[in-house]
Amino acid sequence: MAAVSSHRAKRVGALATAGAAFLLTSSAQSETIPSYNTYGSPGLIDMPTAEMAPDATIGLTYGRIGDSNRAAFSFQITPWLSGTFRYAGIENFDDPSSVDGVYYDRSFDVRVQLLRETRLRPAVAIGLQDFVGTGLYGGEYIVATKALAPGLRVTGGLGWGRLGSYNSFTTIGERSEVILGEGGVPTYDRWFRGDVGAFGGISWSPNDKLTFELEYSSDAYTLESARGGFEHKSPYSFGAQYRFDNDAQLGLYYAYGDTLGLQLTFPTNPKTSGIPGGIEVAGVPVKRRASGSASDLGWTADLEATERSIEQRMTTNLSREKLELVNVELRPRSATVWLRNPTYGAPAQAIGRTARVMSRTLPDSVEEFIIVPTENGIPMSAVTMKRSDLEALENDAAVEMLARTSITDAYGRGTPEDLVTFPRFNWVVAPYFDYSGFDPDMPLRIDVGARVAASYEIRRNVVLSGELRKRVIGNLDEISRESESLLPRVRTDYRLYADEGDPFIRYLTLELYGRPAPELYSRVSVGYLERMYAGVSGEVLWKPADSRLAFGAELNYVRRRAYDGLFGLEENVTVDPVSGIEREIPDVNGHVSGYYAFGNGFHGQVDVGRYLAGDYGATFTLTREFANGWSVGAFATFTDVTEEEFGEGSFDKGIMLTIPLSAGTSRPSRTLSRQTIRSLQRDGGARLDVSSRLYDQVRTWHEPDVSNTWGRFWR
Amino acid sequence: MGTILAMNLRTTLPRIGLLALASVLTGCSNDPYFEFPVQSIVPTSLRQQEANGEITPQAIVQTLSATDLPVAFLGVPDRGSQALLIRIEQNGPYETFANPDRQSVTMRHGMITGTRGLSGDLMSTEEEALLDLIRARRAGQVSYIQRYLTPEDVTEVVTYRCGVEPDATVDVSIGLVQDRATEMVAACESPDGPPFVDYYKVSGSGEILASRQWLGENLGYVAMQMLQR
Repeated sequence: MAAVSSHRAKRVGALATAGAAFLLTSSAQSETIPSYNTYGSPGLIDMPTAEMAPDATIGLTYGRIGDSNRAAFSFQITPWLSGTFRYAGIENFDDPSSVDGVYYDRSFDVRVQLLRETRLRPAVAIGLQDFVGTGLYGGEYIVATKALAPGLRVTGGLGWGRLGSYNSFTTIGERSEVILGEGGVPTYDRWFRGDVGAFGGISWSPNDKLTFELEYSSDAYTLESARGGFEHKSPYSFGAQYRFDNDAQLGLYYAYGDTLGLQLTFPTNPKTSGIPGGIEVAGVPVKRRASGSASDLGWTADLEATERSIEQRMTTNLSREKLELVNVELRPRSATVWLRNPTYGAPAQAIGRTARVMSRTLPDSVEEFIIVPTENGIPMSAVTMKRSDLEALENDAAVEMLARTSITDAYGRGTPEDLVTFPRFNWVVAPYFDYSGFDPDMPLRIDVGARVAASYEIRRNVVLSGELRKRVIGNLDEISRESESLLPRVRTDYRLYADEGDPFIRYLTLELYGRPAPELYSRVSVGYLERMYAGVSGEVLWKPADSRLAFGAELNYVRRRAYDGLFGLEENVTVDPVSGIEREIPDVNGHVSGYYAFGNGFHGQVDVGRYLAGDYGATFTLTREFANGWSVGAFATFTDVTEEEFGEGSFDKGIMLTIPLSAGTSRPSRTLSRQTIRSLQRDGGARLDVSSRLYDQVRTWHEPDVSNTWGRFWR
Repeated sequence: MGTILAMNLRTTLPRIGLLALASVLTGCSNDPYFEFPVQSIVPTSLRQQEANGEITPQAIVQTLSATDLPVAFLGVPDRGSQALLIRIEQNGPYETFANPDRQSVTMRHGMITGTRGLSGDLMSTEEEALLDLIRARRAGQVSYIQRYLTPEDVTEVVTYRCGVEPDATVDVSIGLVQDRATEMVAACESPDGPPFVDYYKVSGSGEILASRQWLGENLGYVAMQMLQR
C-alpha cells in the first residue's frame, strides 16, 4: 500500500472499548487456530501456509524480526477467504521518507483457500501479499500444507515478487517496477510475474501448547539488505511458539542465521467469544390465561380507569426489564404498546420481554399484542402477535413464535401522547479517548480527557444535543506534518483542529425526526454537525419493514467551523500551507444511498453523490455483521478526482470494526464501539460525518434484523 | 476562625477535586440506563455473580415454612453454586421456578426444559418422547433435542439419541417430599455435542422428584431435588 505516509490517518472519534474487548473476550474455540507468522497471517515465521483460521477469527499480531516491526489486523472473512492489514516500521532504513531512520509502510494481503485439507490431499491456498500500492512486501504465492502425523505439518510453496527473490529457479513473464497512480491501487501488473522461488517448512506440536517451526524462506530481503542493517546469512529460520489458555500466541525465533524475532498474536472471534446468551437476569414468564377467561369483557365498562391502572403497572413492570413504556392503548381485543429500548442490543429480546410483560398485565380478553418500538419518538415498526401463540409457544423453539409474528410498517401508528412529560433532559460526564494513527513522526497519538454530553428532548421527536470535550493528557495537538493538497482542504486541516480545539464542542445539534409517508423516514439536523463542519443536514430514508433493501437521500449545506472548535464559523475557503493556493469548499454536498442485507451476515451499501470537496463519485461498503453486534467491513470511494489530485493513496479506503459493549460485559447493551481505520485521510472522497443517520436506527426494528436476533426473543 | 476556614478549604478543595476526578473516570449521568464502557475493562469473570454458596438446612426449613408453593433445590456443581427456587408460574404442564436473584428454571413434571439468568442457558428442548418414557418408567430409544444460544446469538440445536432404562426402586425423602421412586437412566449421544448420562428419580404418579440432568457445556450436570410439591 502507500509507502510512507506524510499524513495522519483520520482519527476516529468515539470511545474505544476495542482493545479491552479484544483482550478479554478470547475464549475456547472449537476449531484450532493455526499459528500466525510475523506478517500477521497464518503461517510459519515469515512464510505463509495454506491454513485458514476458523471462520470469523480476528487476529491482532505484533511481529518483530531484527529491525522490522509489524502490527497486523487479520480477519477470516469467510471460511475460505482471509484478509490482513499491516502497518510496518523498518528501523535503520535508508530512505528519504524515513523518519529518524524508520521507514513506515502499510500493506494489505488476501488469501484464498482453493482446496481444503483431506486425509490424502493437502490444503492449497493462493495469496497476494501487499498487493495494493508500493508493494514493499509485495509477493504472490501458491502454497500447500498437509498434516503428516498428529501435530506434524509440512508446507511447501512457490513464490513470486519478494517471495521469489531468493534462489529462484525460473522466471515467468516480466514483473513491473512502476508504481501505479499515487500508490494505493492494486498492483495487478506485477502479480505472479517475474522470478519464481520455492519456500517451505515444518511445524511440529508435541502438545496443545508448544509448536516448533522450521522454515526455508524464498525471500532474499534485498531491500532491507541494501538500505538497512540486514544480513541475510541463511534462508533457514527456526523458532518455538507457546499458546496461552486464551489462545494468544507468543513465538520466539532465530531468523536468517543472524537475528532474533518474536511474534505475539491475540485472536478473538465474534462467533465464539463471550458468554453464550449473556448473564442478565431472566425475563418474567408468560402468564397463561385461564380457559374461558378471554371472553370476559367486563373491564371495558370503565375503559379509562383500566387503562390508567394498566399504564402504571406496565410502566413499573417494563422498567424492571430495563425498558420504557412510551404509551399503551387498550381496545377490548387488542392492545398497542409504544416502547423505548435503552437496553437490549438484540431487538428481539426487547420485544420478547415486552410481550411477556403484556401477558401478565393486560385484561384476559386482549388477544392481539401490537408492540411499536420507537426511536427518537418515531414509530419504527409494528410487531404484531397473538397472545395465545405466546402462551402456547413459550417452551418451544424460538422460530415457532417468529413464524407467527408479523412486522409491519408503523406509519400512522404514532402514539397520540406520551406518558413521559417533555422536555426531558439527560446528561453524562465520562472520559473519552481519541487517537490518530500512521503519522511517521509518531505512529500513534492519543488524547485522553473528559467529555460532557447532554440531550434535551423538547418534544418526543425534537432533540437538542451536544458534547463538549476537554483534553486532560495527550499529544494529538503535536501533529506537525503538513502536506500539500490539490483540493480544498476539507480534511487535511485536521491538524489545526486538533491543535487549537481544547476544549472543543464535538457536536451541538437540533434534530427533528419524522415519518413523512408510509415506508419513509426523515431527519433534519441543524447546528454544529461534526468537528469540522456546521450547517444543515436533511435525510430521507425509504425502508419497507420486511425488506432487505433500502434507499436514502441526504443533502447537506455546510459551513467550515473555526479551528478552536467553539462557536465560530469560517468562510468555506481554505489556503494550502505549501502552495498558498486558495480553494473553495462548496456549500452543498449530499448522497443517495442504497443499502442491501444479502443475508448470511453480509451487508452492502453504495453511496453516490457529491463529497465535501465538491468531487462526485461513489463509496462502496461491504460489511460482515454478526447478530451479537460485531461487524467487520471495508469501504472504498472512487470520485472524479484524479489519482494525482487525490495524492498519496490514490483514493479513499479503509476498514471498519464494530465491537458491542456487551462483548466485554456479557450484559445486554446497545452501545457499540465503531472504529474506522483509514490508511490515510486525504481530501478526495471525504463525506460529512453526520452521527444520526437514519438507516441503522430504522433497520434495527425491521424484519431482517429482528429475525436475525430472534434467538433472544425468549431470553 | 479564618485559619480553620482556610484549612477546611485546603482539605475540602482537593477532596472535591478528587471526587470530580473519580466521577469523570467512572462516568456519571442522570440517565438510569447509562452504561459506562470502562465496565468492560473489568473482566467479566471477576464481576460474575459469585457462587451462591451452600444452601443450609435452616434456609430450606425457612423457605418451606414460608410458602405452600412447590420448592426445588438446584445445584450446579461445576460452578459450586446452589439455589432454592420457588414456583412462580405455570403454563400448561410447564412450571417455572425462580429465586429472588431472578434466575429461573422451567420444568415439565420435574424435567428441566429451560433455564434463564444462569448464563449459558438452556433455551428450550424437545422432550416429549424422552419424558414419556421416563414418566412411564419404561425402557426405549428416543430422540431428544436441546437448544442453546451461541455467543453469536444464533440458536444452536443439538439432537440426541437417548437410550432409556429403569434401574432400582428407591425411597426418596428430601425436604417435604417422601415417596417411592424408580431410578431412570438416560444415556444420550449426538454428532453435535458431547454424550451424557442423566438420572431421574420418578414417583409412581410419574413425577420426577430428583434428577441429575445435563444442561450443556456451559452449565454441565445440574442436580435438582423437589423439596415440596
